[in-house]
Amino acid sequence: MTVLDPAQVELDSLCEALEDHSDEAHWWIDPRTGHVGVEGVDQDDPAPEGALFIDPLPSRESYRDLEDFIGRVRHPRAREMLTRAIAGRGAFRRFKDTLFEFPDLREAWFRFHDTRMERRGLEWLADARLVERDAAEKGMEARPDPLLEELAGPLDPAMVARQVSEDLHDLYASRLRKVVLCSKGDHGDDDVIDLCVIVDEADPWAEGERIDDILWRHSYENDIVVRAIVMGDSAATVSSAVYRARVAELGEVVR
Amino acid sequence: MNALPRAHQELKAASLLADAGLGAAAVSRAWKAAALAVEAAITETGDAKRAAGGVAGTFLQQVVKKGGLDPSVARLWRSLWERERLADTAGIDVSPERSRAAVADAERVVAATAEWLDRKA
Repeated sequence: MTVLDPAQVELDSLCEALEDHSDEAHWWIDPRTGHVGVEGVDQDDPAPEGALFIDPLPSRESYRDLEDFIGRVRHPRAREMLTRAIAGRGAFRRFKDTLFEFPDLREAWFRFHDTRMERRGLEWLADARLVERDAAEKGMEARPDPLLEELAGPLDPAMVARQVSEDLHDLYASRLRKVVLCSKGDHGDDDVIDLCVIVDEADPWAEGERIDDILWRHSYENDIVVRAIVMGDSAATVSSAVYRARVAELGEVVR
Repeated sequence: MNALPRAHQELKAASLLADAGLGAAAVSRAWKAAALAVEAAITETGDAKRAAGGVAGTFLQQVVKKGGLDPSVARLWRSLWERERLADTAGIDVSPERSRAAVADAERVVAATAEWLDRKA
């Protein structure tokens, strides 16, 4: 079989084929030319001899794109609405409908989605041995997830704090007594969210090392710094009574 | 003096303080060194700081995600900021081992950022 140059392949059409779960459309690729066509719809393009039929990819891969995209959205209302939209059956339709309310996000979604699909298309071509694996990988490397300025927006510190507290709950289970949001990110200068985590007993230094991974992940995903002091329930672990008082006075309990 | 030479000075101070058993002060200076290195990197991105809002957002977006600085360096920077909060704001005792570890981590942040700046130059 001829090995194609990835540039020869009609990648847009291949991506469309890989997402088409309809019963009527039968997509194919001509391994000699890279032309991608479809049989059985209004504009019928019969498959030539030797064409390879294309099965769509499992829809869970596209669903993961929805989740990953929403994970990047900072606008609190948009993020909440999109999260709700993808719960249960009809997720893709509701997601797209919801995006109509946020035109900038919609544009960003198309760029994000197209990049992901192009990478999958190249992977598919390599798996089908229609292009060299090295050439496909080079093409995939040239298509990292785009940085989407449209996704920036006012950050909801309470929402981030709640998400962090969920992860902390997974880690500490019944040891976790309380998570307090001590300061909300100040976007005028430093975007920092400070949390105070109360557990039954704690060495704040050791616990800081233990939760470093969680805090870093949320920081990186949200382009902020999330800090947390883990304190034991007894006052003995924190020498600064002033600090403890400040937490009690100013903090917002998020869990 | 621009931010990077000041970062090196802060590192020296942090190291001396750690050797003298002044743990909290050492952690504070180690953090300051890392923060200055990050400031130098942000300056390199021009007026990006204004566009992105804050130091953290600018650093993570422009220097790490767009600029290609190793994310593990940013992870140490975040962690040092947290340790500074433990030592300074919360007043929690710092062991000699932890203060030396903070200095070593700050050295890595400053060195990696300096290399990144060299590559950009």
